[in-house]
Formats: sequence, C-alpha cells, structure tokens
Amino acid sequence: MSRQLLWVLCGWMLWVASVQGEDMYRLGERLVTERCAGCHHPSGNNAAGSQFSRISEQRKSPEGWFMTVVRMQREGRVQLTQDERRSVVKYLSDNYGLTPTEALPFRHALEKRPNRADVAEDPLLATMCARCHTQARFQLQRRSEEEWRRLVHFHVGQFPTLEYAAGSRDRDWWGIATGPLVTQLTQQLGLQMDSWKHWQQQPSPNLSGRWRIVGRQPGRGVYYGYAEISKTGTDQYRTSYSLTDAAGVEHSSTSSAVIYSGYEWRGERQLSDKTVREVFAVSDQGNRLQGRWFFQDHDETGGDWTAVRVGTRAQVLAIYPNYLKAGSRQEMTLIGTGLKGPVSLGKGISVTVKQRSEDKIVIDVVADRNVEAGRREIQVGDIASTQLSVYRKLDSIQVRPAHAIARIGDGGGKIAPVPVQFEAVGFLNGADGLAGTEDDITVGRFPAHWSSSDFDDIAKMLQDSTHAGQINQNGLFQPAAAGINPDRYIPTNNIGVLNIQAELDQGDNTLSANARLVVTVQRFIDPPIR
Amino acid sequence: MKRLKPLNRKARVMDNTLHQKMEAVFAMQAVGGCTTTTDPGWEVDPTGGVASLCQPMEADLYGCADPCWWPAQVPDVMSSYQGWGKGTDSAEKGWRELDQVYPKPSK
Repeated sequence: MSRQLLWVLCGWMLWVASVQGEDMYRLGERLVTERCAGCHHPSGNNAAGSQFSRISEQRKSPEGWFMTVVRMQREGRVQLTQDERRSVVKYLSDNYGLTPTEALPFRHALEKRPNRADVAEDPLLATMCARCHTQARFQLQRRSEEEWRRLVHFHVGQFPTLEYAAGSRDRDWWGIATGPLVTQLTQQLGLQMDSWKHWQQQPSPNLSGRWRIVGRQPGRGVYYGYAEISKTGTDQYRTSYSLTDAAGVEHSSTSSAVIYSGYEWRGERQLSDKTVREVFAVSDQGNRLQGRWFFQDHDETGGDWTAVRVGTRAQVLAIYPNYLKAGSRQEMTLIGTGLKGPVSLGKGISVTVKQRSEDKIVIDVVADRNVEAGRREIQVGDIASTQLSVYRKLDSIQVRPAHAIARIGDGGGKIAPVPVQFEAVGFLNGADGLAGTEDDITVGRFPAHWSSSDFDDIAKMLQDSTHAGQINQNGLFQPAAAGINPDRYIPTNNIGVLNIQAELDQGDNTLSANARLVVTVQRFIDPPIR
Repeated sequence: MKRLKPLNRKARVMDNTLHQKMEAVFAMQAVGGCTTTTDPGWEVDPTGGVASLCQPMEADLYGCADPCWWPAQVPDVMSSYQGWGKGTDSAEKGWRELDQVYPKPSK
C-alpha cells in the first residue's frame, strides 16, 4: 500500500470516527447553537424560561419542526445538509416536542392517512385556520401567547392577500385574528411546559429484540411476520423484517430508524426501488410499536402496522380472515404472542388445530348453520379477544372512504397522480333492525363489483365519468392524466365529480353502496402536515 | 333571493345543485387539507364540486397563485417561492415543468 493511500485511509477512518463520535442529538445541539442562536439568542425571559428566543416558546412534532427548519432554510438562508437538518430536528423534537397524549388525536396526519374526515368542531378555528390547513397543522403545536400572535403576523406578512379572501374580507379579520383567535389558541394550545417536562423525565426504553408484526394494506390485505430490532446508536435502530402477505408471498427487508421526542419512530427502508417511510409511535413501556408505513412518493399507498415485543404479555393480535359465514368451513390463522392453551370460537363453531406455535395458530373451523350471528370472543387459553364476526347474510354494505379526493397527474408532468383505494365493508343491523345506524355491527371487508358514474347533472353535462379516470375491480380508482384535454365539452383538464358504486351479490339479493369522489388538480405544495 | 328564478338550463342546474347538495358540500369540506372557500377553492368549489373552480387551472395559474391566493396548496411567487415557475412563462403551455416545492423528510 502506498504512503498516499495510507494517509487517505487514515483520514477516512478519523472522519468516520468523528461522525460516529458525535451522535445525532449532539450534532443537532451544536448546529442549533452555531447556526440558529445567532438570531434566536437567549432571552432568559421567555415563557419556557430558557435558551433560544422563539424556539423555546414552541413545541411541535418532528414533522412540525422539519417544516420550521425547511422554512428557515428557505427564508433565513440557513445552510444545512440533509443529515444536519435531521440532527437539528432531532434536537428540537427532543427538547421541544409533544407528549404522546398530545399527539394522539392527530397521529393520522403524521401517518398520512388518506381521505381522512377533518371536521373542526370549533367554528373560530374552523374558519380562521382549517379553511386552508388540516386541524392537525395547528393542533400539533403548543405555543406561548406571544408566539401564537407572531404566527398571525407572519401569515399576514407572508401572504398579504389573506385578508381579501372570502371568509376574511367580509368581517374584521385582523381584529379577530389578533384578538379572540390568539386568546383561544393560547387557552387550548398554550405552551404547557409542565406536561412536557414530566414526559421528558420518563425513561427511554431500549427497543432491541424480537417483535411480532401484523398489519393490513387497503386493497391488498393482511400481512404478518417478525422484526429483529437492534440498537445502532443513541435513539437509533436497525430492523430486519420478514413478512408474509395475504397471498402467502414472503418479503424481507431492512430499515433504519430514529426515535424523536422519546417515542416517535421514524424509519426508512427500500421496497424494490421505492423508499418507504415508517411513522410509528412507541407505547406500552417500549413493548408496542403502532402506526402506518407509506411510500415516500405516494403517501396515499401504505398500510397499518402493529408490532409487539415477543416474550411480553400474551395476546391475540389478529385473526385472518376475521369473519365467518354460518354453515361454512374454512381455515383461519391466529397471530399473536404467548398463545397457549385450547382455542375456542364460542358456541356453534367447532375448531380443529392444524398447526400451532406460541405466535401463530392455524385452525380448521366449521360453523353451524344456526350459529348466532354477531361479534364474538376468540379464546386462546386464558386470553380473550373480540375480533371475529359471524354472519348469515349481510344486511348492508358501505364504501370506505365515503368521500374521497383523487388528483390527476403525470401526463408528462412532474407530479404523480393520486389514486384512491376504495373498499366495501359489510354490516349486520344492530338491535334497532335498521341499516346505517350507530349500532350496526361491522363484519369485515368484502370483494365487490365496482363502477363509476357522473355524480350529478353538471358532471353528466361535462362527461366527467368519461374523462376523469377509471376504477378497477379491486376498488382502485386511477385518475386520468394531467393537462388540458381537448376532447372535453369545455377546454379544461380531466377533473370531475364521480359516484363510485360497490355492488355485492348475495345470491338472492344484491347490496349496493356509493361514495363521492372528487377528481381534482395537482397539489404543488405537499408538506408533511398539510 | 327567493324571488330569483332560473331562466335557462344552466341556471336551473346551478340552482338545483346549490339547493340540493348542501349536506354533501359540508362533507366534502371535511376531507383534510383541502381548500374549498377561498372563492373559488383550489381542489373543491363551495358547492362540493369542481364546476365552479377556475378552469382550466393552467390557464391563469400564475395570476392567482402569485399573489398568494392558495398559499397552502400552490407556491406564491410574491413571498415564499420566488423562483417557482421561472422559465415557464405560460403555465398553460409549460405546466409539465412545474413541480412540487417541498422536500421530503428523511427518517
């Protein structure tokens, strides 16, 4: 080896050692001190009683801090590499984050769950904030009164036509925005450092070990398997997955993840040539991981994810399939941990165990013709779980989501289309004997015949169903290409409003249900929290 | 308003839509992250449809987006994204060049 090569090798080893020596948090701390504190100097007199002016008077999710740092890079010209930005977000989230309880009602936004209904119950917040943003955008923040007021000022300074839009120009918008709105935001979403300080004192669990996984991807079905999680640094993990999907196909991959705020798991892995993001929450004293994974470039496509540590308390996590028809025979699979003892699905259902381990039991099930319909308990030894539905005939179906947004895309442009995966869910009537009421009993998801049509007279006139896209027999609506379509009645692109219909043939009757789908234009700003 | 009667087919369709779809309008506003009420909205119009949106959006995109009309959905060239659309003077002709502006988080 030449002397020159030896020097290069030594330099590289020293560089690796220095990077590994300064973990993400310490790097973030140094960067915030070096590159943020020049403007955000210690005031010593702010609501948090510390450290960085403005920064210390806010608390946010990791995604919330990511958006703040991105804005600082854009507006404040802060220079950060991608790794440096991640370290800054880590430091800010660990010091000024949200507690699990605070984040819980709006985790769906962090998990990017598509077509989520978002009705702001408070009329003031609905008209002042949720007209443009999801509720999660502001509900996942805690600020001092002065910081909420500054946010209003920022909006007017950055977007000066805000006061002229409908819903603003027709009233004393400025008076409301700087008065009652700030007061209400402070009362509901004030800095509340005490709850955060209490959470920060909780011990951080080591997540290393073997985990049992169950999940479901809409349109593709269930999957289950194992994960081996190993610690690679402070709050950093590497995971090896081994999963089996509904078709019996096995998948394996590895991911790397960082824990923010003591419980927010953010992982990343490759699936074929696509990047998958993992947004999970650690709970149950470090024995449970729950959330959603989704494709980085198609966040509408993803799946639920539940992982529990093997060797902790015994529990049934799932049963596949999760419904059983009276008078039928089928194979069912129970997934869980610590599954010991006899298996019972209750009166009228006979069970033969075909294969079993402590994490998985395969059973052959025969349901009597006169078995009682409804939800029932699964019993495995001493463990009970109510995840099974028994039905004779369905009383109704519903399409989920009932209201959806798809977006045109591609067509030679840079923005991908946003499809919608619909599913048909079967129900039994509850005690009131009526369909569509609160006491209906959910049976499960069923295959259906899918079709789309014009939603109303205007859609019919504009032939929306001809142009806006197609739904396949798996319930996946694929929107049409972006760009102006010269074949349309008026010169426009392929947007439209459609009625999506599911039909389920039960032999002597056919159930049907509808959803409303708006196929609309691209989104040019798509932040982590919309 | 009660004394106003629709005279032609389009007016009757609009009148019918506005009066019969109000429940659905509320429901569509509930899909998270959509702007419906900035006259018109970006994704959905106030009736819950798309017929009253600026159409096609490519035709006068800059005219509305530049002065921050939908700042949560479309980059505003006035303040936040001054370089967006640079070199693409006509959105109607060059819409394929317009991209999303937000970086994706990593881990």
